[in-house]
Amino acid sequence: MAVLASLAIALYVLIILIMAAQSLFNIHMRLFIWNDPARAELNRAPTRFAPPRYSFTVLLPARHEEAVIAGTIEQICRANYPPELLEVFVICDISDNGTIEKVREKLREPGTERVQLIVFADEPVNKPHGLNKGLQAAHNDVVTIFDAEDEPHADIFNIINTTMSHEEVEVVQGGVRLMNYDTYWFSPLNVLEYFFWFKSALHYFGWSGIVPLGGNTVFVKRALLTRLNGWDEDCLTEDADLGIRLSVDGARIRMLCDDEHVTREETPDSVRALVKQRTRWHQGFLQVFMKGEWRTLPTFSQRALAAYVLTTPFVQGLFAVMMPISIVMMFTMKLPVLLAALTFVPLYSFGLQFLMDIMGLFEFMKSHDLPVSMKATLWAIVGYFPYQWLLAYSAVRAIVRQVRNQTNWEKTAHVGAHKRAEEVA
Amino acid sequence: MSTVGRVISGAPVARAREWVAEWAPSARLQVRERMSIPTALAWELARIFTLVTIGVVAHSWNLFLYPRYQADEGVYMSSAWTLVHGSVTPYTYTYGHPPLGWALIAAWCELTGGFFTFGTAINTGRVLMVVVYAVSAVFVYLIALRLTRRWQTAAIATAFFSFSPLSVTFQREVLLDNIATMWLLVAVYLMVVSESRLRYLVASAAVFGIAVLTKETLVVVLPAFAIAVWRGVTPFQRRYVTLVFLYVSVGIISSFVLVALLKNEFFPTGTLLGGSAPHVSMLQTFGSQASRGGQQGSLAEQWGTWIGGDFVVMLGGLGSMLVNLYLYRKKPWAQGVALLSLFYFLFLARGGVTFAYYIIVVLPLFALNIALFFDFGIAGPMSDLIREALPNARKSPYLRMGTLATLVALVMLGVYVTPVNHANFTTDAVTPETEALQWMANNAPRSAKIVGPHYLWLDMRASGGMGATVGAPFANYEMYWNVATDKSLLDGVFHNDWNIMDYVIEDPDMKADISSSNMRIFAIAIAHSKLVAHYQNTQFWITIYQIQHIGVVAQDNAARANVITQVSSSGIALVAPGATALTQTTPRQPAGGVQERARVTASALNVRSGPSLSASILTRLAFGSVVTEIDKRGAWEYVSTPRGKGWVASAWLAALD
Repeated sequence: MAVLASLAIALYVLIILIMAAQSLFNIHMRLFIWNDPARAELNRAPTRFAPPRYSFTVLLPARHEEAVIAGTIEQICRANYPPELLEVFVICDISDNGTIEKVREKLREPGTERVQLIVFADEPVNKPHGLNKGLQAAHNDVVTIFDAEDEPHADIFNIINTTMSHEEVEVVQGGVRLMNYDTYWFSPLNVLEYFFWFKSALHYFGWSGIVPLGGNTVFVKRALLTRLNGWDEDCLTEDADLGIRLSVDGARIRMLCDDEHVTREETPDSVRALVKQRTRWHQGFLQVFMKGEWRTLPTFSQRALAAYVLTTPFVQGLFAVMMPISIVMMFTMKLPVLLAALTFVPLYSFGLQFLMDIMGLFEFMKSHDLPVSMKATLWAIVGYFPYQWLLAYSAVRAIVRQVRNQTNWEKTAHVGAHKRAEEVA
Repeated sequence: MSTVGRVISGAPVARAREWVAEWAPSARLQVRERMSIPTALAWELARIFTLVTIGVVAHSWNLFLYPRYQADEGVYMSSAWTLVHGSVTPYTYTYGHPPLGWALIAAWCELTGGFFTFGTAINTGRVLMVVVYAVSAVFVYLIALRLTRRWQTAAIATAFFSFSPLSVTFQREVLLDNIATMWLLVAVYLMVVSESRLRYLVASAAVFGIAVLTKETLVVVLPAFAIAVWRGVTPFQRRYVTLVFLYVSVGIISSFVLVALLKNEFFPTGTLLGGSAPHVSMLQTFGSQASRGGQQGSLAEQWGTWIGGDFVVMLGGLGSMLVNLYLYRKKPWAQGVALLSLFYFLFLARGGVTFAYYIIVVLPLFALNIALFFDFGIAGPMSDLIREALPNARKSPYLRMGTLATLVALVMLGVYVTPVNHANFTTDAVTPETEALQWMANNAPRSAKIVGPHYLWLDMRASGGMGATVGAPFANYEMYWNVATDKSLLDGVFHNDWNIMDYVIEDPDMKADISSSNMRIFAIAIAHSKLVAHYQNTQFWITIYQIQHIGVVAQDNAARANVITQVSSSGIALVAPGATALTQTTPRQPAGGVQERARVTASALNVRSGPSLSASILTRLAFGSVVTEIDKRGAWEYVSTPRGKGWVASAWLAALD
């Protein structure tokens, strides 16, 4: 019995230590960009543009996006880049009459000559399949993806062209940022995830040579993309999968998340939608993990990092559940004092993450000249643990779905919440 | 001196270059002046080595004889020993100081072959203090070098830090402040070499946390660190880096509070969160420490001591600190050094208790400030002047400045520092202590219950200690302060009864405490005792009293017969009633208060350590004071007074009865 008890304690302490390590590593990734003054340059978009050299193919997969698609097309067509160096493919499946209708209507307007509609009728009906259709039709040097609800910056092609002209890179991942920071209770925390992910964590991945790419504002040389056979149509997170395959291939990937030039997006519009989206991501990561391409990465630390990133959602989910339990145990369980003090390390590092979140929120509001929202700040504080639990729940859901072999796409609806403010203004 | 480096290439060499560029900024400077990197580095190492070696010699010379053993040194050595044997302190741990300091001492003793490798326990600790000094001195040098990129400035800072008589005295003592100051300097170094990189600043914050966990008072400079970091890092990183710095250091420091909370020893007994079971309380300890008034020493009082010890470092440091706050307003790391001294100095000036050794933290900061002021305020303008006066000078003005600085340092060393360090190098203040230990080892029964100074504790209690050189250690030696203040000891072990004690070993501090803190039990015990040994030199005295137990007059005859005249081996003074005197006085021993009492008829009567006008004066009695006569030798009476025992001239005494 005593042996069993001490075994249980040993296991508990081990879990605590892994929690601490995971949390500290998370902090390390989030702080990566602020680690060194030299890294300030990493996110600085060029202010003097190189002459247009690369041509771009924009893939705009859309499914049930009739509400926002016209505006997005308009936005891309207004980009500051020679029209002859741009081609845009809006990609819809044949059953999506509403979106197809809206796109056709938009294409009748002048100024949309470079935009074409691709409608596909074959299976599977998902984003990677649509992207592959677009890739087949593409002619230009660089292929990029925007989502239907995106607001890409007008200078984005100039920036990417300049970056690709000046630096020897084959892939550029631009920044994506959620903007509606005070719409729902979970908004500020969701916004912060993107904020730290694109501003800092991705640079850490780039530095390590293993990058789970984002789903849009990603620019890849077409030749490379074709050589890698495009996107994996069976994967729920084709973006992360492509990132891993590019890393395995040794592609030079550049991250660029300049506050002004980020692609603006919105959070899911309900807890339900958030959970669905997270379930998909987590399940997708699981698929990429099981595909095992990451195992062919050249160095051990890259393989370890890849394995870590792909399984993080589940580890994190476990810990989000563990945290309150361990807080209770910290004060009730009678451990030797030094061991008991050790169990506080995860709590301490969660504390730092939390303070960084609050600071990040203020920095976010400041960098976009948004009004300081006490509501958002309060929700970021009060909602901190419930949000972690939601993610944990999504992780469990992802595992269940994967086990049941449910691999269809649960999509999130977009209502353009992040655009409202502008429209009112 | 200026040799042009040979052409070097290849990856290891490139790595070496990077390493040198990173860690030897002065070498980098020299590279520009066409000196090869290995040569520059060798010069740098030679300079550091020479300076610190001289410093180590100065600190080691007479290390075991001066200054006298302090109570705190005994407490920390004893705590280190009990830490190895399973408890944080010899007596109930009340969270007075965090234990990292004596954990380091314990590790040192374990590594160097025990607590008595260098004689007494305190000697062993003092050797560690010399090592701590050497590490600190290297970091003082490196900090100044990094801040100014001139070895001359670094040498000045290190010289002031090493050779100030205040340094040589206080840095020898086994005090937490010395260890904490070493950590503080490492933290400052990591900050000034950070070049705004977070990993260095995290390391700096962590080491600063260790400094505070060594000596809690250092927490007062945390705001200075925060300001320096905020101002020193790039605006891009500022918020996150400052947040992380503060969080890491506060997090590490808070572990001290956390442990108290976990042991349910944070809140006082009888409060809502403290529960009703009696226990020690960190809050209570903090409260009593914070409310200690200036009666145990104030800044004003210590300032006199410090100025007397070294007015150059004290006034120069204070002045340059204030000037540097402004001079270095555009160099936040250098200004940080001034800020650190400012915050610590404000802490000393807060009006609470300030001990003389609090200067330990200030010394390296003042030394750095003096050097920084010299560099920016004097050397800079001067080299400008030289450049103007000799526009075609082939030598770099910096080299001229360097020669000058070296001269200044040498003059300072030779003319000022050596004579004022006289006491440090020649005085013997320790021999009476070690002689008392040896007397106990040779004469006292091991079962005896003994009360005495803190610094004898470990040598009495632990086998291998100087008090246990002959036979077993003394299992029942207790520190007098704890006996008087710790209820469990006073009531539990001594039943609040002087008659349970067998020996009382008294020194001047204890004597002062007995009268000022009203430790009646010792006063009564001494009044019922016989002086069996007394050791004294010009610096210090220590007396061993054997208690004459009521009703057991014939007990311990052997020990009594053993009482002999003791001559301190330092030969400065002699004392003690002889064996014959004792046998005569046996009937007059205080068994029932049969001695004769007398009144002082002089306006002031000296109480001396021996029956001679050449014996040192222990205290002075006012007209009308009542004394109890114990012994007589010629024209001298050995008397017990409210302020201790000693010899007075019998001509000035009038019998009362």
